[in-house]
Amino acid sequence: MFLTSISASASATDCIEKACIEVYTQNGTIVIEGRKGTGPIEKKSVSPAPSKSRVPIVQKTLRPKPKPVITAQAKPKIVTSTKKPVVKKRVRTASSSPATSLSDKLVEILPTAGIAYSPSFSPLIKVPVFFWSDIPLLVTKKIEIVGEIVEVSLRPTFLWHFGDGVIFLTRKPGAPFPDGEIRHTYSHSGHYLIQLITSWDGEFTVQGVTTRIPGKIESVSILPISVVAAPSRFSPLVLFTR
Amino acid sequence: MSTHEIDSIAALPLATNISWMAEIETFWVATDSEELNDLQRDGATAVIDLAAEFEAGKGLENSDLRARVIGRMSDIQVRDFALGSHNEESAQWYWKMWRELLVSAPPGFVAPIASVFAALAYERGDGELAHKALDRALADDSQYSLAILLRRVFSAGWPAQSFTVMRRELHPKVVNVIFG
Repeated sequence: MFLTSISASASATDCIEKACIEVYTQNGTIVIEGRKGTGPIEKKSVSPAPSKSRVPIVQKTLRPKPKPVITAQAKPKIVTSTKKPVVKKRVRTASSSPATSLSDKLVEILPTAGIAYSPSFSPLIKVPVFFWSDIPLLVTKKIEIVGEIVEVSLRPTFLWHFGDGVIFLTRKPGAPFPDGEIRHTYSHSGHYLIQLITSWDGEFTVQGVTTRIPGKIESVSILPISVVAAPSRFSPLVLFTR
Repeated sequence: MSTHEIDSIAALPLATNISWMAEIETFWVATDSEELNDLQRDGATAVIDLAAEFEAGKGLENSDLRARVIGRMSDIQVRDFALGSHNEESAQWYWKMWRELLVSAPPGFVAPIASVFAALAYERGDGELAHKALDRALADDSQYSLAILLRRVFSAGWPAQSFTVMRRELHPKVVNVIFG
């Protein structure tokens, strides 16, 4: 886990005027965590972020509900007094000053690459096959968390295993013929397993300060492909006569 | 692009600029680093990122990325990755990139870049320039093994095509080591 605070220090008491923002990778996801204030951090279970920005959770010190104190009387009867009940006030010491904090935690799930290739029907040996994925060159997200705008920018790296031992590393998603640079020519017919490992790296910016997101997120996409030979056939010359 | 566009591969004054050298030093890869594989991955992706910048005509704009590539090339796996990362289509961008890096690499960081540049020059049929690049590599580090190997290969008159085939066969293995 990596902690980046836009306040002077990362300790809880220092997130008073400025929010503390953490962005890190966890279980193949990007986690954005923010808190502001002096109170204890509420431990929440991590759940995927909805499409809309979530309302920050306001965490306040719980106060006991006021209980009316009824003075004893000789005959118990239903009290219908209009007087306000006496509320026992909590005696606060300096150390238990009101602690109010905002905290929120968002999880961004990154897209998984889909694999496509052309020609899509029976690619031939000794003819380049073009591969591409549907992942964009750059994924950017602007997220508001505890009143701060966090801009997350992620770039994929594509590692293509063409199934015959050839590996190709690129930052580009590729494209169909004739534009794509991800192409491979098979020498032998057969069934191959295309494996695309997409690894993400990126950075986040809060109040103009850009920091690299540590850790790795990798996803693997697999697609079988059958490459066929195209034997040449010479047909006898046919003469058409009327 | 013809080889005549390469005027010189001598070091620019930038190569000995103190702040530039200090920046590159931060990207040095120590062989005993606990994060060695991460640094190697960082170096390999930096190479293809910078090549893409050169392809877009913005290769000189990102000095941080250039410093990153020069620094990370201190690792042998990153250097071997760099040796095989171009193909026929991208060769011209890589050619420009390695030339720019060669003339701006500070002392101590020249040998790997000069060796890769020498390999490209040899494949392009410019043996003279290839040897000049090796001169720079060996001046930087007289024991640099790749430069010594390439000197033997070039002097023996190996066909450039054979060298290309060898380089291409090596590349998947290197990628597998770094990203496997």
